[in-house]
Amino acid sequence: MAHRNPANKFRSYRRRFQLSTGKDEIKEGWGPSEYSPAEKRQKRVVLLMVGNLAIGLISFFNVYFTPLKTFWLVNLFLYLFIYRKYRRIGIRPNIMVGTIILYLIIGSITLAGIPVTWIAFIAPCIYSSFAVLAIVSIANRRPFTLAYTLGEEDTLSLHWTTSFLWTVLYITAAISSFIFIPHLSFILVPFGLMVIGIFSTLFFHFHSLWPISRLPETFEYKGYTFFRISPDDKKKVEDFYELLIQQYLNEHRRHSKSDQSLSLEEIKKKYRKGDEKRIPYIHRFIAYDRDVPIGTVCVYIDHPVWGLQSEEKSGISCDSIKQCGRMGEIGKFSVARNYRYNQALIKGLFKCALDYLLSQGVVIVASYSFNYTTAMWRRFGFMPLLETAIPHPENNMHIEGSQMMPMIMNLSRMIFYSGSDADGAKDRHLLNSYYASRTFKRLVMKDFFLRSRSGVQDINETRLVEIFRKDLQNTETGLDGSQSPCCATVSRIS
Amino acid sequence: MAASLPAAPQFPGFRDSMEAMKTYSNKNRCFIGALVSLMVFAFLSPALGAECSIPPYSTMERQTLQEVVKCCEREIRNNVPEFGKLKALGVAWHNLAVCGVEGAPNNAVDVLETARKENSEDMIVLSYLGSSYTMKGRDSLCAFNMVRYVNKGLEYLDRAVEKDRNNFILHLIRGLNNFDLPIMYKRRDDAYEDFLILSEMYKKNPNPNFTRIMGDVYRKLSTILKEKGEFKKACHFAKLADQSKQE
Repeated sequence: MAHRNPANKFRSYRRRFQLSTGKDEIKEGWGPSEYSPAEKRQKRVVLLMVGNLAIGLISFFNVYFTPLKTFWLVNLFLYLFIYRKYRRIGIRPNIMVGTIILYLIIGSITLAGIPVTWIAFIAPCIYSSFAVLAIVSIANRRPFTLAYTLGEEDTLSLHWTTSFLWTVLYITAAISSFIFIPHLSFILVPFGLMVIGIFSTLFFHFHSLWPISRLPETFEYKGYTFFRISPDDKKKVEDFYELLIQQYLNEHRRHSKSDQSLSLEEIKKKYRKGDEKRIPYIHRFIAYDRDVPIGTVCVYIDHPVWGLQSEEKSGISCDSIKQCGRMGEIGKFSVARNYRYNQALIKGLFKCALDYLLSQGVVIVASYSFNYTTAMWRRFGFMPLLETAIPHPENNMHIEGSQMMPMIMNLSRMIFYSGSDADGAKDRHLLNSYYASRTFKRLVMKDFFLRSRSGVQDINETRLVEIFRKDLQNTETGLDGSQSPCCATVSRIS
Repeated sequence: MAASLPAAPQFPGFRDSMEAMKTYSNKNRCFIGALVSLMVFAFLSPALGAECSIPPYSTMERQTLQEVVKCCEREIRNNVPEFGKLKALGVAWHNLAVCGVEGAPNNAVDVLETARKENSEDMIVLSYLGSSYTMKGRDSLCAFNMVRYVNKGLEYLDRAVEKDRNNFILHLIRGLNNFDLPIMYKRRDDAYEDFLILSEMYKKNPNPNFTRIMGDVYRKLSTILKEKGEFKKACHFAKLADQSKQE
């Protein structure tokens, strides 16, 4: 089946959204954007998933800690409410129907005047029923959590994990709620298990799904092998800098007007020294065609002392942008001369970098690249931060003709506005499906809690550049920069 | 002075069947409770302090018990609280709780806890406290408190019996509590053991004051044996129950 593979599923989901008109609906300015119907639905599904877990927690609490004569009514109302919400977006979660029927039965028994002490035995019945439903859904090769979350558009391994977890928890809760009677553990243990289940589900969806979510050290893409370089892997580190400096010198010869000759070894040494001080805030990737190194890319996470590489090299602070969302950087991008126009290689390298950045919760990506490469970066959705490029001050070697351009891209827009056909959005399918959906869910929740205010996904690159330049201007003119333009805009909107 | 008897909390659910649960009512609960309390209290008057000038405990009528409560409370308010008065007040509240008076189990627990602090060696107080806790559990609205208080009550009842294994009254209170608990507490066998001990004690020392209460104990013993399928023994105890009634 086409949808068995999570990557295929994610691709098909992305493909489906290519039909929607996301970009046109994204406002150019700073403010909440309107969403396409598909995006609205995705947002609601995420909110309902969290709502469903919250209602689950409340209902389990009600069973044990609120009056026995009325708890069923409260729970019934809550489940009817969320069921109606699900129905409005076209989802019919059968397990919820079962829950509603169960509470109706409990209500009927209570209204019939039968003393409430029998309720002690209802907990094993509830847990057993859920366990049976979960087992049946697993046997049917369809995790029951599919109905609650992004469905088949989400990572399937996530559903299998949560479904297995809940099945085990339901079985354990059913057994413990029976065998521990009359000790208080017969209430506390199953309730504790349900709380664990709820928070684990939230953890899996919003934080980590280790080891499934662990990014592979190696992966293949269209015949090329991509590696994440461990700092201890001396050979790959050597290959990385060898290729990088060679390409750097080649490009320098092509574009520089300077006659100054550069020593490969000297530059390599300085590059390595500059990078190694950033470990573990730097992650290097290398691509091989068989055994030949053909491409490099590097990811910089915001260093507490050095900041981003571009900040360190250019001396320009990106603090105003950092206040809008977590920022990371892609650098040391190089491709062997013979592979210069190889799309698969370039995409593979970008995938390495973006997946890693997403896994670190980065939503805004910077790059600090040679001015002549801006066209390629633009293709991936980056936008120059400055009007004119700045001289290359690499390791205090101001090389004439070799100019650098800091660029910026809002990765969260690529994830959030799935219908968008913005620059770079067409490459969304390359992203790791777990981290893409995790980022989406996080953005939705932030959007929900921000209410009328705009989230980071609503700041397009043009606006980011404006924020940056305004801050730069303020710094240059000596204005008070205590409140960033980003924050100022947020408060103005709110 | 006649005295009232302590009674076990009445947990009707699961006792026999769902049918039994349906027929259960507050009226029955009060009636059975009153009966049992009356019987147990008959033997407790010396322990409660016969010299106490507080009106007799013999009745399970609400009005009388409420008067006792008022009187005790007045005396406690006006004078330094004495252990005997606290005990008497606690037992009065306990009996009111048996009759199903709202809030009575809480008051019984509060007063008996104070009495226990005054004299922690009095196992009768501990036993009454346990019984009050089980009734507090019975009247709780939510499942958690229901189980928590009943378990606490049972713990006190067990502790009291452990400390004084030869005390007829302690076995009686615990046995009646155990018998009336819902099946989920798995106390049927304990009730059976307590009733057998009571039967043995009574056989060795047939005190005429215990005749009425023993009739009830035999009847309950007979019920348990029937449940166990030991019909011969059940008939034997049923006969003893009838004999006690006639006497």
